[in-house]
Order: sequence, then structure tokens, then C-alpha cells
Amino acid sequence: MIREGFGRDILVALVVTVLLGTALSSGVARAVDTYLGRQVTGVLGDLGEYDLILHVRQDAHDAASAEISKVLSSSYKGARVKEGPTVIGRANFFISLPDKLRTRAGIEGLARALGDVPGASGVTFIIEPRLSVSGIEPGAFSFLIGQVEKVPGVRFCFRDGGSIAVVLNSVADVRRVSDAVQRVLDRYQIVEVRLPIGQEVEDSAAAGQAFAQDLKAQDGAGATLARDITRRSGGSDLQDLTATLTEMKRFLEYYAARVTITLASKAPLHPGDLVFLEAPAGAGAPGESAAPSSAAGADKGSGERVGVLVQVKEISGSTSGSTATGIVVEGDTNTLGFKPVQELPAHGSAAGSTTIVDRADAYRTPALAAYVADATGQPQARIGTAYVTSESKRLAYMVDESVRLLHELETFREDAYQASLSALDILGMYDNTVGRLVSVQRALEKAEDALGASGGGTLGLQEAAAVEKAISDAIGAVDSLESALGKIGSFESRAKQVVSMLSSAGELLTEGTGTGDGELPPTVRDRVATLQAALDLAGVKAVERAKVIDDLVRRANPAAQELAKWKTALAGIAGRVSGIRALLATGHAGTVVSDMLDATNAVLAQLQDMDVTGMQEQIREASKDLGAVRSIDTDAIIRELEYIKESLPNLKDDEVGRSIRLIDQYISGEVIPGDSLQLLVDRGVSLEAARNAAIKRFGPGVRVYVSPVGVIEPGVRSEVYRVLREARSTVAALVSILFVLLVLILDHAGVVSAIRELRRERAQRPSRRTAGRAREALARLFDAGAAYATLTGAAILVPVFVASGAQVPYLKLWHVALIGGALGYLVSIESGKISPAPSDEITAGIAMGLTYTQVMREIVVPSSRPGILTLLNRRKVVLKGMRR
Amino acid sequence: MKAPAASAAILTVEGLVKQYRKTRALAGVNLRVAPGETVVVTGPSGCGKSTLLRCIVRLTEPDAGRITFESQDVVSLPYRELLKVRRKIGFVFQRFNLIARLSALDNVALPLVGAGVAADEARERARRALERVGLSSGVALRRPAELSGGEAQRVGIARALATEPVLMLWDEPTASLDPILVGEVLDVMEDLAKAGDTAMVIVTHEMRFALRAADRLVLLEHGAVAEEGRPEEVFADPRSEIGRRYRRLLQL
Repeated sequence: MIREGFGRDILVALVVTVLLGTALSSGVARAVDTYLGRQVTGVLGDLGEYDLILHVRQDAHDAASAEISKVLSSSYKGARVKEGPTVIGRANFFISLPDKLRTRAGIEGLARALGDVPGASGVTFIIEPRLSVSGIEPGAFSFLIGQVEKVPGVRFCFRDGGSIAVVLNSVADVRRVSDAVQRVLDRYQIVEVRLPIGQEVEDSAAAGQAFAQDLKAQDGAGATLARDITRRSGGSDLQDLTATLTEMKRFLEYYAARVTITLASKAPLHPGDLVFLEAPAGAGAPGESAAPSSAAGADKGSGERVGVLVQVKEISGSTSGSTATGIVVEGDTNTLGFKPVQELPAHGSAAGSTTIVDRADAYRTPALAAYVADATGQPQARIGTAYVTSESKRLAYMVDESVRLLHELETFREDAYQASLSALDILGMYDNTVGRLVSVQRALEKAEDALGASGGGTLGLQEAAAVEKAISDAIGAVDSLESALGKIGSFESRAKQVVSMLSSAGELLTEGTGTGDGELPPTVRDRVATLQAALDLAGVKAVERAKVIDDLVRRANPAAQELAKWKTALAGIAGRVSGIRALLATGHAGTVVSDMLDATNAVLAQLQDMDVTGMQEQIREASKDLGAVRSIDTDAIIRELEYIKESLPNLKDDEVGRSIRLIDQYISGEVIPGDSLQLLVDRGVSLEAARNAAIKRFGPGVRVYVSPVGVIEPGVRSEVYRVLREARSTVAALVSILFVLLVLILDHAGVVSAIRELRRERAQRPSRRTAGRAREALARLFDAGAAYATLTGAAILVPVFVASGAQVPYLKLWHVALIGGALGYLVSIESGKISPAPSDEITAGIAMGLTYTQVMREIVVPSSRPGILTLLNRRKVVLKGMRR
Repeated sequence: MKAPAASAAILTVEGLVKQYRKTRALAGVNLRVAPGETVVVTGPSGCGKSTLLRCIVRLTEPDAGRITFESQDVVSLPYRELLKVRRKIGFVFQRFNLIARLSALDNVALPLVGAGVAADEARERARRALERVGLSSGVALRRPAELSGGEAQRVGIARALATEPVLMLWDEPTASLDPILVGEVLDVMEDLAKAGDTAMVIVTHEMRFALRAADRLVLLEHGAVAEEGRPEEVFADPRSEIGRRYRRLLQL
């Protein structure tokens, strides 16, 4: 039948079927693809329509637009620009290059040229189709670009920030190129050597080169490519972070509660071990209740021990009595019974209202029992005694007390100023008093002269009145002077007290800021230094003023005593001042006057010794200084102190301890490295070999890591289009398979039935030959009809698949042939039901001498189901039959 | 009656054997047919009558034996030669085996077309063949489904006659017809037999027809010839039990 000519008919039918199937599956797939592509374009825009977006500040829009046009028209003829939407103050210009300029030089040159556009604030590359390879070490770019550009399907590559943009020839190549680029990346890796903090390489470049040679030379490393690509210029964010963390740690160390453990015996204690410090029974911070806390090892209400957990930092000494230091990492230190510090008495209040403790022990706990703890914090064996000093409490106290003292200073300086004025008054009074006494002296001398002239013992009324008046005035002045001196005297003690307070405040500041292991932050430190200076100044000034006034008083007091004596003497002489006139009217006036004059001369001699002018000068100077002291803005200083207090971390001691521990972990080199080297090597280098080489060159503290040279990130659109392509291919595949099944049912089931019928009519003589018997056995399993259908199914499906671009993931072409064959075989199994052969007609046709071809053309095919074969057979049929 | 001369036989079947799995349809049948001779082959069902006819044109391949047609060994003929033989042998089937899509005329013309005759000429010759079997032109354009049984069988006969065969094989041509139509066909058969132009081997149970029209009667039983001779002689003196039974049937 095949040889007669029906084979040709079948062949023609197959060709037509393939063409039709290809057109159908391609058409359907294309329609689906077009529809889905439109949806994607609606979301992502047209594929490859633009190559980059230039972002420009909105205020420079017009100038930028003009400049862009100028750049494009002068250097990029054929380029198109379209203005996009303005987003968050940024105008966006979409620019497309003509195909001939769509090269690496074109793209990079354009980006550079657009960088000079007024208001330009960046470029985003959107050229398509492309992949991105990200995570590239800076030194590896040029090498990898060179390698990737060799991949078929890659048009060119360029650097896009920290990635390599791989521009493809066609979006259809995405998957293939992606796989190929991945293979390129898989050939190489990055070896990074990190040195611990504190270990630096003197000549990094030489070290990198040497290490690269080590990798090539080392047995087992097997590097054929080892290239130093370490970035050496500029600081890094990690370095900044390291510096910051180091500073933070220094401050926290200053601030942390310090634990000192005196070990009772050779306790097996090591740095890093946990120690439990038991709180004293009923202890708590001054003014706070001693309620059980959530300290390590304690459970609320369970009656378990209350205390804190300490992590040991250092151990000094190895025999009994050695000391360990540590930081609190868990538990409330308020339960440990800190002692309060000495409080200085406030102005006007009763002195010393609290228990006096040596300030060296301020905020220090009593002796606490120390136990080594297990990993869960449970106390085990006792190992010694510990003290905990809370620096945070000390610092807080320092600030509070300084504020209090400054308030005292406020009061004092006003007093001091007034005192200096009073001192000046006193000196004025002093002068006045001396003047009065001189008047008394003159009056007495005049009276004496008058008495001498009269030779009597009685003074005239006029002279007596003058003397009385002079003495009365003098006594009044003396009384005023005494009173004034008394006031200064009380100021003196007050000044001494305040001087002492200022001195204490300064000492507190010194103690509060200079005793820790760490350091206060510079801003706090500077503020404290300023305060110290201010307080020192105030103290010095106060001391000086107090000295001056003290000196005044010291000098004025003897004079006052003399004046008092004089007053007493006169009073003693006259009983009362008012009795002086009477006394002078008696016959003993000469003696009285003479005694008074002697007393007055004596006191004047004392008084006139005082350098009043000099003292006035001093007091005036002191007043000026006190005025300066008044100008010290204590409110500002108080605010500064409050700021210092606010600046202090609001952390509990255990939180501080844990923070220090955490920072230690980071800056020990485990996460944040010190110096590092990066090398680009081939995949043959194992991590172990690289580590051995690094340790050999740089020492045991290094850490070595290997990482991929880059990671492929397909563009969103490329990926979406790839998926769409796969969808299209899959749709084409499905349509192909359905089409082939349909064709097999319509066209070829009848042929299969006819073949079976014809074979049945032909030789059924049992073969005597083995080969013949074998053929017969095989024929029973896989007869000619099944063979025909199987071959036909494969023969149609494979070319339709190929021609329509159909693809199913993981299915190769031979799988497709298998599917086609399987479809054919299945159809052949049911061909008798699908398209039964007209047996009687076939028999008649054979009997009448028709060839098999004629039987097929005239009898079988025309009576089969309508299909391609039937359609093509019409021109072969001689007897067309009647139309209905 | 024409007595077949051995050398003049148009068809010779010698020792024909055909085995169907466990059934031996033909167990060494011998048959000779002279040109123009009408041989009726009869026998009980399953005795191998239809198989004999089918083997003659190799619609069924015999397992053993020899079939000679016009001096050609049909059994060993290559395909192309076999086609030529088939074109010289007309075959009338029990169920007419007409081509459903074709008109009566085209059915009759088909073997001519198959033989290479142009369609128009083939149709013309087919028309004549239809007339020969008594079918009017009105029937020519009807499809088999539109024909009565008798008409359909006569179309089948006309088709077999269209190529002017030298031998016609009739496989129970009236078996599918009702008694009224049987007569129509038998009349045609009798006319053809009497004309003597074509040798005919007719498988039928119509014994009265055999008595009227057959030159020889072959009675088969169990795949072998049980009786052979002139019909009246066979029925007059049957040698086999099957022959006697057939005689009794005839007498009924």
C-alpha cells in the first residue's frame, strides 16, 4: 500500500497536517502571548522601549530639558527622550538610544554626559533585555565583565552601580544566557581574609600579592587564578561602626557597676565564668524597699536567693586572696544594699542629718557572698567575697549634690556682695568714728586749755557741752561700728562654710568623673570640666573674699576692742555720758578731762594705725570680684548639670553589663573585621586550603571566608517575559498535542482499521521459519496498524513541536516523539471503535481487483471521519460519489 | 451440460486446505470448473463453502493446496498478478458488499475504474451491466441504502459482471434476501447460467436452483467433497449420508 502510492498520500497528508498544526499551535500560542504581553506591558511598559531614566530636580526641569536635548542632538543622534511623571520633587526623563548606539560605550557615555545636566540627581538604567549580576567585589568588575561578554547571546555588559548589567541580544535568550552566565560565575569565587581588630597589614598591596602567590603555590589550594582585588581607599561604614562601638564600650565601662571579688581559695574561676553575688538580707538602696527582685537565681515568692549574676572579666593572682573583676549581667543591683554618701548640711539647716560614710565608699555595697554559678545562673560553691560599686549611682549623686551646692552658692554670693558693701560701710564708719574721736580729742584739748587758763577745776558750760556732744557722737559711731563688725563676723563664718561647700562640690565632681575604668563621653566630660572651673573660680573667689573680709575683721576687731575699752573707760569715768557735763561742772574737771583725753589719745593711736585707705581699696576690689562672681550664671550651670544627668544612659547595671558583653563580641573580630584582603580565585581553591595559607602568612587569629563572585538577578521584565515565553511554549505544546490527537482520531484511526482489515485478508499462513514466527508474535503485540499509528503520531508531533516553538519544561525532543507515539498507539487500540473499517466494502474492493491504494482512496478514506486526509483524498478519488 | 475437460478447466483446485485455529475449514478440496460451466457448491454450515470461494481469489490465504486459474498458480502469484486474476473473477457476496457512498451505477463502475477504465466509459459499461441484471436507469443513481435487497444484490451481480469476468464466484447470494426477492436474484443467476458465457461457482442452499441451472453439484461436508456430479445424479443416488439428507430435504 505504501509503495503503490498511498504512502505518498499519507506523506502529503502528514506534511499538510504538520503545517496546519504548526500554524494552529503557533497561532494560539501567539494569541495567548500577545494577550499576556499586553497585560505585562500595561504594567511594566514596552519591552526595551527606553534605555535609561534621568532624574532631575523639579526646580531645574526647564534647564535640564534644554540641556538634555542639546546633549542628545549633538552626540547621540537618533536618541529619543520622553518626559515621565514627576515623583517626590524629581522629574524623570526617559531616554532611548538608537540601536547602533546601544553599546557599552554608548550607554556609559550617555550616563556621564547626562551627569552634567543641571539638577541631575541620578540615572536609572532600564535597558532591556538584560540580567543583573550583583554582589560583585569592586576589584572584580573588569575581569567578570570580560568573561561574561564572551557568552553567546550577550550583547554587551556595563557597570551599573554595584552590579554588572548584562544586555542580551534577545529576550528569548534570557534563560539560556542566564544559565551560561551562571556557569561563568561558578568558575570563580572570592576568598576573604579578615584580620582581628588591632592587627593591621603594613603593606596591604604586597600582602595581597603574596597571599595570591601562596594560593597558587600551596598544595591542595590548586589555584590557577588568584588575583588581589582588595579595595584599599577610603574608610568603610564598618570601620565607622567599629569606632562608634568602641567609644560606646568605653563609656559603658565607665558607667558599669564594678564588681571586685576577693577569692577565698584557688577557686577554679576563669574569665567568662558566671558568679552569683547574694544580696544581704533585707537590703535595698537608701530610700527603697528591699523587695525581692528578678535577679538571677531568684524566683518571685519562691524563697530562693536574691542577688545578681556577674561575668568575670579578669583574674589577677593565682593563690588564695587573688582578685577577680567582673560586670553585672543579670539582676537588680538595688537589692545589694548600697551605702549612702555623706551629705553636706544645707544653708540654714541643721548640719549633718544623715549617717556619715567615707565618700570613698559612696555607693559601694557591703561585703557580699560570691558563689560560682552554672550556665543557668544557679549558685554553686562559694568562692569568696565581693563588693559592688555603682558608678552610675555615684555619677548621679555627683550631679545632684553639685546642683544643691550651686543653689547654696546663689545664696552665698548675694551675701558676699552685701558683706563687701557692708565692709565698705564699716570702713566708712571707721573713718567717721576716728573723726568723731578726733573731735572728742580736740574738744577735750580745748577744755583742758580752757581749764588751764581758768586755773580752776570747773569747765564752762559751753565747753562742757561741746565735750559732751563730741563724746556722745563718738560713742554713737563706735556703737554703729561694733554692730557692723558683728554682722561681718557672722558672715565670716558663713563664708567659711560656703567655701567649704564649694570645695566639696569640686571634689565631688573630680571624684565623680575621674575614677572609672572607662571615660565619660567627651561632651559630658567637657561640661564637667567647665563646671569644675566655675566652681573653682567661685571657690577661689569666695576664699579670697572671705580672706579679705576676714582680714578686715581681724584688723577691725582689736580696734573695736579698744573703742569698747574707751567707751567703758569714759563711761566709767562719767558713769553716763550725760553725766559728763555735770562732772565737768565740778571742781575736778581738769582730772576728768585729762583722763578722757588720755583714753581718747590711746584709742586714736590704735585706730590711726589701720590703713583704712588700703583696706577700702581692697574691699572695693573684692566688691568688683564679687560682682564678677555674681555674674556667674549658676542657672546655666545647673542646667548643664541637669543635662549631664539627662545624658546619662537610663540603663540598669545588668543592662550595661550585657551591652558591654555584646559589644565585646562584635569588636573581637567575629563580625566586624579589622583589616581584610579579598582575592578572586578559581573554584578549585578549597576553603581549607585557603585558611591554611592565610594562617601561615598572617597568623592564627585570621578568619577566612569564601563567597560567590556574584549573584544573577534577572530583570523583572526579563523574568516575566521568560515566564511568558514558557507559557507560550507550553500553550503551543498543549495545542500541538491536542491537535495531533485530533488528527489521529479523525484521519488515521480509519487508516489503522483498514490496515488491520487488509492485513487480516492477507497472508495468515503460519510461518515455518523462526524469523517469521517471531514476526508473527511481535505482530500480535504490535501489529502493523499500531506501528503505523505510533509512527504517525510521532511523525506529526515532533515537527509541530519544533516548528511552533512548543516546549515543555524538562521534556526533550525524544520525549515528545514518545508522547506522539504513545498517542498514536492509544488511538490504534481504539481505532475499531473510533473509525471502524468498512470490512465488507474492503473485501469487495479487494475481490474486485482494486489495489490497496485504490481501496484506501475509493473506499476507506472517503468513508472515514472528515479530516485532512479526507480533504486531500478528494482529488484522488475517481468516483466522487453523490453529494447529499 | 458441458463436461469439463481436464485440460480445459478454467479453475482447478487441488487439495486445498485451510485451518482456522482449531477448525479445519477445508480438508483437501478438489474442484475443477470448465469455462462457462456452472458449479453449485453446497453443504451444511461451516463446511467450508465460503472459505473455498475466498481462497480461490485469496481473500483468505489457503494453508495448503493448489489453485490454478487459467493455468496460473494463484496461490503463489505476486500481488500485481493476483490483481489481474481478481479482475477476471467476479465475486458476488452474500451481503452485497456495496460501497455505501457510491451510487448503484458507480458501484458497478468501480471495478472498471480500478482496472484503469476511464470513469465515463466505466459508467457506460456499468449501465449496460445494470440493464443486463434487469435494473432500470432509475436505480442507477440510487445509493445502496435506497435499494431493496434484491436490487442491491443485482447491483452486486452487475458489479461482478461489469468486468466481463471469465469466472464468477457467488457466495450465497440469496442468503440475505427475503423469499420474494430471492426469486429475482435466482432468475438473474439462472439467466446467466443458461447464457454460458461465464463459468460460475455458486455457493447456495437453493437446491431447486441447482437442479435447474447447475451443470454440476458439489456437496461438501467437514471441508471435503462428499458428493460431486450432476445435480440430478447426486440427488438420485447419493453415496454419502449428507447426500441422502439433502435428497430428503429436496423431496420435502
